[in-house]
Amino acid sequence: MGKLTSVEELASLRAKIQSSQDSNRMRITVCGDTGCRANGSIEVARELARELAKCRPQTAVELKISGCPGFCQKGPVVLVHPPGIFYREVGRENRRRDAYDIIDKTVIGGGVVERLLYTDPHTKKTIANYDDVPFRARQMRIALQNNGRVNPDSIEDYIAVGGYAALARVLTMDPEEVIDQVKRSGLRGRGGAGFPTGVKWALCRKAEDRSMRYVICNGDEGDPGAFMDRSLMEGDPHSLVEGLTIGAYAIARGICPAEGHFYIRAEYPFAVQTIRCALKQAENMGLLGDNIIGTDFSFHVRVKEGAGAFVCGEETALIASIEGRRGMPRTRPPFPAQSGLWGKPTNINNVETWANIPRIINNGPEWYAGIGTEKSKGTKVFSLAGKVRNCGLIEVPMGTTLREIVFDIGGGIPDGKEVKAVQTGGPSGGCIPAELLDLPVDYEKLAEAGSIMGSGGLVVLDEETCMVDIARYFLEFTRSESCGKCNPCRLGIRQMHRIVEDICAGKGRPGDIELLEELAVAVKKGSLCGLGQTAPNPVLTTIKYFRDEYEEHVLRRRCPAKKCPGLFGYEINEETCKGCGLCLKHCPAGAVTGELKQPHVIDTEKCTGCGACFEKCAFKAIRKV
Amino acid sequence: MHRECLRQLDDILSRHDKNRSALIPVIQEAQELFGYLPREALLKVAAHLGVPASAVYGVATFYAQFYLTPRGRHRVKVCQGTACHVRGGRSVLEAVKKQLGVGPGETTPDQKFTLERVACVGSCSLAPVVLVDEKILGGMTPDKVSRLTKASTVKERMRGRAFKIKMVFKIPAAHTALFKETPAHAGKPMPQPAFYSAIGQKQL
Ligand SMILES: Cc1cc2nc3c(=O)[nH]c(=O)nc-3n(C[C@H](O)[C@H](O)[C@H](O)COP(=O)(O)O)c2cc1C
Ligand code: FES
Repeated sequence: MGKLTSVEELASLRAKIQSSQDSNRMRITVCGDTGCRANGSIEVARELARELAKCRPQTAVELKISGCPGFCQKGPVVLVHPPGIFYREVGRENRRRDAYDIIDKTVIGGGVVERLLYTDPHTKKTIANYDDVPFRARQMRIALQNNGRVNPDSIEDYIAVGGYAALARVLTMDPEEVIDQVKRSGLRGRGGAGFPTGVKWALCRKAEDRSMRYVICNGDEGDPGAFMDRSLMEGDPHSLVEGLTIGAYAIARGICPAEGHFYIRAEYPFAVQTIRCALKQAENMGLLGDNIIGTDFSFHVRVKEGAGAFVCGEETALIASIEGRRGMPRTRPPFPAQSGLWGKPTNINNVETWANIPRIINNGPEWYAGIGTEKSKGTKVFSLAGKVRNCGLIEVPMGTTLREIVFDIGGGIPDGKEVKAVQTGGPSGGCIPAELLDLPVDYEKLAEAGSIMGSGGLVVLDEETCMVDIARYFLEFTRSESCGKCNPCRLGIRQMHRIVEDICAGKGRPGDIELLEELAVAVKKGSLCGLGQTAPNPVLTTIKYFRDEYEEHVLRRRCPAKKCPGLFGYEINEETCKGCGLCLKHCPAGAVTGELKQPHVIDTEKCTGCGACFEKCAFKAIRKV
Repeated sequence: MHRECLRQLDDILSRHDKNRSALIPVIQEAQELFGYLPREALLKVAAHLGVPASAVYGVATFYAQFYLTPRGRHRVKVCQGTACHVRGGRSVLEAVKKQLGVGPGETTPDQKFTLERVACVGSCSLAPVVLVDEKILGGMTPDKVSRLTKASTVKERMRGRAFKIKMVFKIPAAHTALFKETPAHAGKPMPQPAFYSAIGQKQL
């Protein structure tokens, strides 16, 4: 296909694709995202294709691999449209039989495969339609609207669902008007800090230097435990390309040329591939590159792969990395909007921010501003993970409470455990305790609770999680990821880590908690960039809400969650112990005694708390005390 | 081998701009080529791009992705992200350490495995996660760690046989009428759909 040279051509192309894609035609979508792929979804797709070829169904059937529909916990996920039947864990047990049944019962027979349906854990009833599954029903999908719907490798698919219409519209608009719309929508940056996007664009547009503008999509996603940006890049790359192009137009049109960059972290090779492929497709169609859709606006985009450094998510470090230097942040001002990449005005936004732009242009800023809370508009994508039944990718309106997210969408905590806290914002955020679960999620409320929105990682912690251990975990992370440029961050975090490590090892001293608090304030105040300024948050929030747990570690040398080795003991349950002798054999300290076929006992004096017996016991007769 | 690689490094260099911004992409590709970043290669990159060797080493040592010593044939990455941590990632790492007999960043003496710790590979719903080369193993426990070596043999067998699957598979509408109200298997043989065509190909 040649390049599109006018808006009319785009519209007629869309009409053509839509008419060829009869909406009543059966579509089988198999999730091809990392999570499902690890569970063999590609093989499932291949098996389905084989069965389809064999049985020749009555109507045309389209089989495609899509981005993530969200319910990663139950992967591989297969959706059959219409009517939207949701099959979970397809092919986990028997790939061939599952594929055969889906084709036989659903495609040919028009029924459902009961065995593969989702069962509501409370009512024990099966649910056929994806939209009725509680996990899905409570969500509102805007940024993720195409994930699981379109084939990420097909620009035609994207155009068919209205893709690039926003760009076509923008190209006829005044750039100031575009910025104004983004401002009116109330969209705030989804990368963490929540700076209003429209204001940022306006600052960059107004910058003095009128020779070049750079726009960057920040796909570094360093927060460990977050994967929404990856899913967006892998599942709906064209929305990002479209958003970025709109941004470039709004910022540079009529002033100077613009150039774009995708900065994607090294751990996401598949996202890099998908974005590269999308860029090429858009360029071939004339939706990117020189003279976009026949106008005189030109915009080229490159992909830069990160090289494994968390701090490169910070905008000035990211710029240094693109320039081929060590990814070390610098002081701001000057902000990138004045002097960024190669010293030129640069605008950086997060992946999810860019994904929202085409939706805002298409539906109007008022529509977007009508969703969410007073100061936080729209929806937010979270990756729900940790000790929760339904892990996955979710999107909810701002202002949804944590309780709704964890219980209604997440399905609660597995194994009958209690929720203890929710960690938001990753290493820059904090732990919000169970008492505050009714907190509506928006930028202000989370900040009030001592945490941050962050990029959207939401890790649920249950009663078995030790909060001091969590604090130590994050300090270990920030300590090793600190770039080392400024002292408060490089040395301060190291000291804090050392203290928390001692506490976890039962070597805490009275006064340590106060010392930690003092250090935390110094690190926050003195650090150069966001990494150091926020690194103490996990410590401060855990001390604030779980001080008794710290005190228990320091004063009584006990870990109430029974997590920190050495700060709790083991005990053999006489009733369930079969006297098999396995624990006795594996105890390195010789602390276990007992006769064969008789209940054994652990000598608490000799026990070092290594947990070898606990790991080995086949009858779960050993418990932590 | 080494000399051959150094020659291929020339090709890589010629494909990139001759300025500093090419530094990271160039050494990324060089690492693909050599498996790590040997001194000769880094010096050559420095000379070609006109960047001081100290600066090239500065970059190569800053980013976690770069290795200055040879790595094993397989890379075992143990996720230490938050979701994996709360589900027991630490004990999985301990088990892998024990199984391979090396610590993070080290390579087994037989050059078979290099152990790496990573912070989140984006598959948190499968936590705790271990990656052997590109293969993701989810729901790991210290006991399951023995699967590691198996996964790598599978991978080795598949090497060179890159899978390609076509993403869209359509049955032409013209043939659909044939099957109306007849049992599924009663039609004429279907023409073979163009199965592995060029649209949306992705190496999987
Ligand atoms: C240590 C650190 C890490 C960061 N990591 C990311 C990241 O992974 N992804 C991201 O979009 N923003 C990250 N940010 C925020 C960026 O600096 C920047 O504010 C953001 O990309 C701006 O986009 P937004 O306005 O759309 O949020 C990070 C900031 C800091 C201080
Ligand atoms: S935390 Fe391990 S995959 Fe995300």
